[in-house]
Amino acid sequence: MENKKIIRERKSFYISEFRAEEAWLSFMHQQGWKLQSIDKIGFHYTFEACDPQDWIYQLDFKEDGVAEEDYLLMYEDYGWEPVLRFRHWFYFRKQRTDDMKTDDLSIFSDDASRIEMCRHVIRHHARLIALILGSLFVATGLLTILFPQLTILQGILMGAIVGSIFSAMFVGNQFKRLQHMIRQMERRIYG
Amino acid sequence: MEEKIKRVYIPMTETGFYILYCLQVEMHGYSIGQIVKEMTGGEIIISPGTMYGTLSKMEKDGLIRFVREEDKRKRYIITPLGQEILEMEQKRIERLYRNSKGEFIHGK
Repeated sequence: MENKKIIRERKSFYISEFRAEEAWLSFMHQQGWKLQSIDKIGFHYTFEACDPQDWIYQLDFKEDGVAEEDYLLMYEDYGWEPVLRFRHWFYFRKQRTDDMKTDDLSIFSDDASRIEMCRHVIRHHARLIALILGSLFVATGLLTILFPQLTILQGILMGAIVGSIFSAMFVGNQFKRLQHMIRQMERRIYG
Repeated sequence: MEEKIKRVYIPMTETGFYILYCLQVEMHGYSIGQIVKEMTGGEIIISPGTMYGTLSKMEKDGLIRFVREEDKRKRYIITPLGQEILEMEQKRIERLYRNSKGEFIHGK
């Protein structure tokens, strides 16, 4: 078996940028590089050499953990190839053909379900932040009660809290962008 | 709780309506899509993300329930609550249809 040619690209997308990510992956495929894997932190994308073809990439966000067979089968039945899973994001692709209808180009056929996905993304990350900040506060509080003198550990925890607040502000900004997308879609539905 | 769910689902999206309508008979997601495509002359196509999302949401809200797995695909059927909501929606659509033809509905 010949060795497959592989490239690694350093790139990362924020949670509100899944559309841009889909477009970039399609672009890479057109250039003859199909997505193979994404590293654990989501900074590097590995591509495998292939024929330059027009493939549509789509991302779906699914909260309830494990990839259920039923979920992936549904996509396969519709002709979408499951590529990989990165955290709660599932990547699918389908080759574009001339006789394709617009409904075949997207994994969502109405804005109501696109809105629902954006809301899931927001809810999931909001819960995550609340959990992290909450446990940091509790840990700091407990330590302060147990050891009233300031310890190094407390200092570290305080630092972590400040850091988390900053990240929360950043994620909050991402939420704003997602909310904006939701509002735009709602305007399309309700006028 | 049920009142709240009724408010959320009425009026329903076209996709939601067709899915709920089809689930008066037990079936799995992909076959719902096939039937809807057929009964609407190809006008309504439900994509997998929309299908999966709608089924999960309706299951969570108690409009449909999981029956069994066949060929690893989950099969669902409508619940009494789902049936009630479907009938309310059918009445609403019928009223809309009659009004759209210029008909007035008197009484009540």
